[in-house]
Amino acid sequence: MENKKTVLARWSMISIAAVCVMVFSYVPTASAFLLSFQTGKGANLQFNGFANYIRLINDGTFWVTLGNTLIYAAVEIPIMLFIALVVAVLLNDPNIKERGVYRTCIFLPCVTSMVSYSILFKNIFALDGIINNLLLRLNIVATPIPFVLDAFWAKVVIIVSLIWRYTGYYMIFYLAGLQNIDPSIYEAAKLDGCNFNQTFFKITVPLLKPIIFLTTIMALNSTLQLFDEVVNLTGGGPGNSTRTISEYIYDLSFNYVPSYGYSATVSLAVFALVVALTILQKEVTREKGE
Amino acid sequence: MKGKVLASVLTLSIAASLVCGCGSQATETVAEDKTSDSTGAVTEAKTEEKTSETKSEEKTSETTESVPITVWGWDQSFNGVSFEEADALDDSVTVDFQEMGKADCLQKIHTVLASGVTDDLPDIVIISDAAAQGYLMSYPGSFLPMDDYLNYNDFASYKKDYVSYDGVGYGVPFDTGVAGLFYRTDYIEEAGYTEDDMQNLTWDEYAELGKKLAANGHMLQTFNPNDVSNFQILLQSCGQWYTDDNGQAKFVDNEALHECYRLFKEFNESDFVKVVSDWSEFQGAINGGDVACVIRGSWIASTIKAGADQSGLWKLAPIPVLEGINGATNKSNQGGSSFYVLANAKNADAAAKFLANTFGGNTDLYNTLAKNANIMGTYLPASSVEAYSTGDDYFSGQEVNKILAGWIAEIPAVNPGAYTAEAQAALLAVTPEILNGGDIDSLLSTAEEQFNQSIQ
Repeated sequence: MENKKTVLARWSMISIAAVCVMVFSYVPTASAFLLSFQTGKGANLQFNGFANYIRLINDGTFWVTLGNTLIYAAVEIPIMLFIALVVAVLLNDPNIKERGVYRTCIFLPCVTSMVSYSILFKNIFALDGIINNLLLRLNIVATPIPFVLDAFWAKVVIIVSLIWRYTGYYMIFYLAGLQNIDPSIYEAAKLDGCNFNQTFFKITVPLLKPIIFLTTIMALNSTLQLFDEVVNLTGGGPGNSTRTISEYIYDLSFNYVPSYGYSATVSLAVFALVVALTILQKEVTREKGE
Repeated sequence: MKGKVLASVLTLSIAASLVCGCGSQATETVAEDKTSDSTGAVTEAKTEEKTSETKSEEKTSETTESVPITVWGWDQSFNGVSFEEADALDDSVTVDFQEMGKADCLQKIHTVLASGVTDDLPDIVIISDAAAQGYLMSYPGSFLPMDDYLNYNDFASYKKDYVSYDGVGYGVPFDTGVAGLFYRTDYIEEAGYTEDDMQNLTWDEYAELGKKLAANGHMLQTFNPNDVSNFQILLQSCGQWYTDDNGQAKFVDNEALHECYRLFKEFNESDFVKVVSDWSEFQGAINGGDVACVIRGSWIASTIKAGADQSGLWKLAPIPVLEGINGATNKSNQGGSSFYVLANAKNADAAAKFLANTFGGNTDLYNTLAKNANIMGTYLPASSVEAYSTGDDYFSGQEVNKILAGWIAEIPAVNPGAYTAEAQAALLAVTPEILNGGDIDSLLSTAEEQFNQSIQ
C-alpha cells in the first residue's frame, strides 16, 4: 500500500516534465517526420512519398554542406577536447596558486555572445585586421592573406574561433570529473615512478572515459548544429566552402522560397547522423574498455 | 575544499547553459546581419531622424474615430516615418508601425502565414521586392489583390512586375533602388576626367578609368569576390534577369550574365579595386576615401553622406552601359520594397483604402517625405514635386532626387520571378571556380542544375 503511494507520487512528479517534453519536443519531431513526406512551396504542401528523400540524395549542396560540417567536427573536436583535458589536468594541481583565476579566464570566452565573438574574430582576421598587420610587420607574408575570402583559410578561421570559445566549456566537465578520481591512485603511481605522460594517458584518460564520451557527444551535437559562427564570419562563402547544414536548413526555410517539407527532411538527416555517430561511438568506447 | 570546487563548477555549468540558451536568440540577429550585405537590406543605413513636430501632428489626427491598422516592417527612420506621415494625412485610420529587423520581419511573415493562423494578423506587411513573388506563390489567398484599389500605371513600370503574381497585382509599390554611379569629383579630375566624361560611360571605359585612377594612387571601387548581388544592376540595365519569364534558369544562354562574369573576373584580377569582405569594410572604404566610385541603388546616398568631411566632393552620374548587349541602357535598379495587405487581417479593406489614398494617390505625401526625411517612392505623379528640385549641398548642389526620380520611369522592367535568392546562391557556389579560370559555360550549366534542384 505504502509502496503504491510512493510510486504514484514519483509518477506525479515526473509527469509534468514528461508532458512538457512530450508536447514541445517529441510531438514536433513527429510532425517534422510527417512534414518530410510533403513537397511544395510555402503553404501549398502535398504528400509526395519519398520525393524529398530522393531529392536529398541528389542534392549537391546538401552533400557539400554535410562534408563541411563533418570536416569541422573531425578537426575541431579532437583538438579542442585534448586542449580542454590538458588544461583541466594542469589546473587541477593543488600546488598552483590562484588556479580559480586561471579557470575563470579560460572559461570566460564561453560567456560571450556567439554573434559578438564571431564579429570580433572576423575583425581580427580581416584584410586589414590585427593578424594580417602582425604578419606583414614581421615580414612573414608580403600581401595580406584574405582569410575569410579563401576557401581553406575561412575554414581555419572558423575552427580557431570555435576552439577559442568552447575549450573552457569542456574543461569544466573534465575538472568536475577529476574531482572524482581518488588522489591515492596518483600517489601510488608517483611511488611507482610514473612521469606526467604516463599518469595522464594511463590513469587520467581511462578514468575520465565516461566524461570524455559525454563531451564528445555534446561537442559533436553542437558542431552538427553549427550556425551562428559561420553565418557571421563568412556567410557560408566563398562559394559554398564554409556553409553548414544548419545554414542550409535556414536558407531552405526562410531565405529561399520556403520548402518546409524538404528542410524537415534535411533536419531529419542531421538527426539520423547524430544518432548513428552516437551509437558508433558508444560501441567503440565499450570495446576498448572491456 | 572539494565542496567548494564542486559548487563553483556547478554554478559555472548553470551559467554556461544559460549562455547556450541565449544562442538561439542570437540567431535572429545573425540573420539580420546576413542579409545586410545583400541588396535591399541596406535601408538600415538610412538614418534620417524624425523630427518631433510631425509626431505631435499625428496625435491630433487620432481624435476622430479611426480604424486601427497594424504594420509589420523594418527601419523606423525610413518605413516607419513614411507610415507616420501617411497616417497624418488620413483620418480614417490609426497606424501602429511595429518595427523589427528586416530578416526578422521577413521570417515572421513566413511563419505566421505558414501556420495558417488568421487571428491577430498585421493588416499591412512590408516585403522586399526580390522576395515578394516567393511569398505570393507560397501563400495563395493570403494577400489582398490591389488591382481594384490602385492604378498600377501611376507607378514606375518596373515595380509592377515585382509586386504581381499570375497577372494579379498585390503590392503597393514603394521605395526605389534606382541605380546610380556616385563618384568623387576630385579623384576623377586627378585622373584627367571631367564631369561630362562620366555621363555616358561603358563598363569597359569605366574599367579604363580604374587604371588611370590606380596610376594616381586611388582605387576605382570596392570589390567583394563573394558577393554577386551587383549583377542585378547589370542584368536589369539590359532588361535581363537570372531567370526567364517562366521562372526557368537563364544562366548559360544569357549574354548579359556572361558579360557580368567577364567584368567580375577582370575586376578580380585588376589592381584598381579595393577588396572588401563585408558591409563594414565596404562602408569604411567609401567613407575613408579609398575609392572613387560606388555603383549601387540610390539608398547608398545616405551611407556616402555619413562621411561628412567629404561634403561637396561627390556627384551622381548614370551607371555605365553594357556595350554590345541588346537593349542595354544606363538605368537600373537594386533593392527596394513594397507594401502588402493581408487578406485575412481584421481591417484589410480599410488598410487597402488607406494605402490607395496615401501612397497610391497623394503627391503631397511624397513631397513631405522627400522634404523631411529624404525618402523617395516610385509614384510617378510625384516625380515633379517641389521637394525633389532642392539641390543637395553634399553633392555640390546637384538636384540628386530630381535626377533619380527622372530615371525611375526609364528603368527596364524585368520579371524577377520568385527564385532570385536561389539563383544567386547557385551562381555564388560556382563563382570561385569561375574566378580561378574555370570554363564558364560548363560552370554556369552546373549552376543551372543546382538551381533547378533547389526550386523543386
